[in-house]
Amino acid sequence: MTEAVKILDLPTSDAAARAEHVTKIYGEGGTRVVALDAVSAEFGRGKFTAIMGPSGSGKSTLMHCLAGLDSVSDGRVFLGDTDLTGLDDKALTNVRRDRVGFVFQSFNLVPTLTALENIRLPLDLAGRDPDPGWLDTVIDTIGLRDRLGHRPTELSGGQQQRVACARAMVSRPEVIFADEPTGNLDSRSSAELLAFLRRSVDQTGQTIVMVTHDPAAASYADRALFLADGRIVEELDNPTAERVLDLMKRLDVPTPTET
Amino acid sequence: MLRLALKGALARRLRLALTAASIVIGVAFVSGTLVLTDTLNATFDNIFGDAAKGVSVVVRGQQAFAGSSENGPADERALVPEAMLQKVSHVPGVASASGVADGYAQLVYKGKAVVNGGAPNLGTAWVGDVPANPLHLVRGRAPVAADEVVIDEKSAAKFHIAVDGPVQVVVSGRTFAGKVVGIVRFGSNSALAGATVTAFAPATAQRLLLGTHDEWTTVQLSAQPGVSQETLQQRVRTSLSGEHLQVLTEKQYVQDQADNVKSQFKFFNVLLLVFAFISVFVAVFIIFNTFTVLVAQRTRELALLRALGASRRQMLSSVVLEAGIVGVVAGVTGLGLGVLVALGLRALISSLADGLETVALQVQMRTLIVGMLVAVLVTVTAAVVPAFRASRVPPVAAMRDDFVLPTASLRRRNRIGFALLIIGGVLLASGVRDGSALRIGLGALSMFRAVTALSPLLSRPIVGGVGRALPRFWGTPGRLARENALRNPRRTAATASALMIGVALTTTMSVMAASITTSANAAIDDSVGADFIITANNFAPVSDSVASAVASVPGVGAVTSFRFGSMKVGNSVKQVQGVTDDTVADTLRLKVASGDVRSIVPGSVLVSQDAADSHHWHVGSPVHVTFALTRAQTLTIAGIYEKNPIAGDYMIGLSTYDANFRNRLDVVVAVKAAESANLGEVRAGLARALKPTPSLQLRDQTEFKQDQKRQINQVLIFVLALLLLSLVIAWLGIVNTLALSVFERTREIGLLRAVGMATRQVRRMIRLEAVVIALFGALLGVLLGLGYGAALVQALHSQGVDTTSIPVLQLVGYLVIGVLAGITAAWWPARRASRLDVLQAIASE
Repeated sequence: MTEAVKILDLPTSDAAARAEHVTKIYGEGGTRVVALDAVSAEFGRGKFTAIMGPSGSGKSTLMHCLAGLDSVSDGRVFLGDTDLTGLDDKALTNVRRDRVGFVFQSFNLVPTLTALENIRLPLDLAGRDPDPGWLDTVIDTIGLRDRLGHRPTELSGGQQQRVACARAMVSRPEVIFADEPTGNLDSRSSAELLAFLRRSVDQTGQTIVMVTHDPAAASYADRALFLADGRIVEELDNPTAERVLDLMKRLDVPTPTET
Repeated sequence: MLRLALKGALARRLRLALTAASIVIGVAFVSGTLVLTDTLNATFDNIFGDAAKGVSVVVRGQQAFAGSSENGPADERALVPEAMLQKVSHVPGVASASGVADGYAQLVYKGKAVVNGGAPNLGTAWVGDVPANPLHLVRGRAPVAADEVVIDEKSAAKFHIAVDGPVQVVVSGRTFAGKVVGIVRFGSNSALAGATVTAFAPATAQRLLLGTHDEWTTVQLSAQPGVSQETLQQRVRTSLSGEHLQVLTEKQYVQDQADNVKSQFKFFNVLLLVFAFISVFVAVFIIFNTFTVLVAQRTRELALLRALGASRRQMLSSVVLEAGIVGVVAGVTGLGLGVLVALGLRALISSLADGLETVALQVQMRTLIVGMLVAVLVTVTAAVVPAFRASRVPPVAAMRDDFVLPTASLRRRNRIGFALLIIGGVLLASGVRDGSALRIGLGALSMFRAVTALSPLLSRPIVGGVGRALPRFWGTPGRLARENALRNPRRTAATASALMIGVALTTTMSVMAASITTSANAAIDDSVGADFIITANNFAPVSDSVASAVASVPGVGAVTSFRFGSMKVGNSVKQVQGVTDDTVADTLRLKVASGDVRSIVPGSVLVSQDAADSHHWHVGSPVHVTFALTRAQTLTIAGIYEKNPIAGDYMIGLSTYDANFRNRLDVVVAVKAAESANLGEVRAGLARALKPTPSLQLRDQTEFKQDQKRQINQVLIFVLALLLLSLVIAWLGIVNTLALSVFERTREIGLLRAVGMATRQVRRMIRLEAVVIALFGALLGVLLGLGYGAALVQALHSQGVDTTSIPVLQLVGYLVIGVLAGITAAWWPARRASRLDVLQAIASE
């Protein structure tokens, strides 16, 4: 069932995002920590990939590097055919604004803006008008048309995360990066949100990379990568919650309740 | 707790340093003023002490009351007869007695008036080789002949006048050719507090300066060794009993002289202290704001301490102590800066009053104590409310990250605000009606508090309204800036309030200056009939020879001399003007209410309708007055004129004036050309006649108006320069608030950056927020200032300020300055915000 770790070193590919021998080192000397150790991975277009692993395994770091939020110590990161490792802050900002979408665990929305304004934020920052049809589709998908004029504090946690997903989708990004998007939600809201992410992959061909430690969340993905000590140690296609849990037990990963 | 407070202060040192900066400026201002005051006082004590060195006892005439220097010459005393000098010189214990003759003497050298700014031009007597002579020859010899003078070293150097130099001497009543025979120093100084000094031989001085040959201004006595000042004073008093003379010890005399000068500086000192108070008042808002934000940010930390068993009292005292530490640091820094401020001000005064040789800076214990007290008390007082709120943090807040400190409800705050607004309005209105400065001040203060209390309420419509334009021009950053400014109305309000105070006072002053200028112009148009006005620099005296010189210029129709003096009517000291008996109706446009104003016969007085009404006088009524020199006199009302700001309330003829005052110098000489005369030719003729007295200025009505305007504007600029400090403090407040807000919103800024906000857009967002806050403050300030200005103009109605004039362009300028203040204040916080590391910002709690 388990496959060997694939080391991909293709100069070009049709992957939406990929990492080539990415190493990330924090600190120096005695405090030196290797967060990522020559990790290579590819994330196919229109696929939903979950990155799993215990605390400190480097799963969040990998996502941050892929999204252009963090720099790498060595190796290269591609978004489509664009090498992110060579870009300056201005270009990275444009990449984040136009080509990727983010959903964080919490504090996703700007408290002073309404739900609709939060959804439109990346487009407004770019000074672009949204494609009205697409905006409608996104709003309908999250099912919050009647709450659009409300501010984040007037929305429930689940509703806030759905608004964040809508914001991530509105600019039709190449990849949506989600960092523990259900970490602060109850199980019912989690299921709703994950079903919604799944639908956007199936219906619109959206590429999603999600960091999670929850086997149930990972079961919505097409593929799950397992990290430990900065390396990819396992990979599962079409994971189910049971298989993920089994694998985690086998990898001697404590099934923590940490965040 | 002290250690906790110290550590807290150190950990937040940058923010606290910014906060301290606001109070540092206030303390520097206060202590600088005190140091300067003490230094100037010591300087005058030194100068007059120096001048009276060698003198033990001074004999001079008495005066019925001390006049106000604003009304004209303050000292009006009878002279001391030569016989008295002879008499006291034989009193046992007197080593030498000399008569002093002081008066006005203006030198002219090579066509230039020997002047030093607006400092007096003193003429005096060279009393010879006695210990009481304050003058020491540096070069040349003493004056002997009638045309010989010695002059002070400073003037000699400034105008390159050498011994044997030919000079013109202008004294009361005449101008003559003289010769400089010597250069003198005044005590150890090269000049007497900037005054120019011309000394004549004693008899010449008596004749020229006093117009007599057997009287003196004062008689100065030196004691024999072993005889104390007090003993000699007693003996001289005994020998002069029954004479109307005053006998002072040297100490009393020096004190009296120095006090006279000091009282003229007192207004300046009080003015500086008022502005220092304003700076401190503005600083209170900044400190309050900072500590409120700091406490809010540390809610969890404070709750943790509470959970660990710290008592409310300890919480309260830790915040108060932290404020105290800030206060002490600010106090020490402020005192240091204050000395520098005093140094600067001293240099400024020295350059204005050239030749004033000040003593070393006087830093007294009182200054140190006051400075430290102001710093610590103000900081602690401003931090008490935030500290109290810190003590109310419940321990449970440590466990929750959404805990928000409860605040007094805005409804209550609004109610208090409205109540204060009404109280302030009533106080201001009643103060304006009765001319009570205290009630006007209290009313203004209470309205300030009212508007600051109400500003959170006002911020929504005003900030929201102003901010509505932002998204249109600056897109999402503009939209976010508006929302951020509205987000915490109290914080926005406190920050804006600090700016509001400075702008409100600036606006008040501008409205007043504009109104006074307009009113003065109207007054000159309405009440001055003269074609030309002759004055000396800074309204220094004009020799009475000028009036007679210009009267003989062809084409001149009427010439009026104006002299001023103090006169007691009932118990209050009033200003009275002495005017040429039969020309005042030509040079002033007097609207006659009753009687005759064409000619003022000796012993008669013209009064204004106001004065007549308040005393129930009519033409022919006797007016009982007291003059300092001649005591109780009775004048008869010859005419009553309608309110005239130039004429004032009382006018007497020059003959009456001369009978009751020793002063023979004019302040203004007004000239009316004859009907048929050509104004240009008359002007040329006047200029020729004034050639021997180059210190005088000849102006027509338009020039006179411009000059008035220029003088008002000079005062305005000086006041605005002082208000600038409060604006600087408010500016620091905006920097501080923004920096705190940026810190507080680290995560939000990180999120915005993550979803694609460019650094440029982050900076713009912060900048626009600052602009909105600053504009809000400036707008409130201008509105409040307009109200105050209008109220003060009303209060000055009786002083002849009867037109309210609004300098629109200046006010727009203040709003623009507000915008610029916002932009510049945002520079550093915006830079910090744009440089936040996105990942760290998102991860931060």
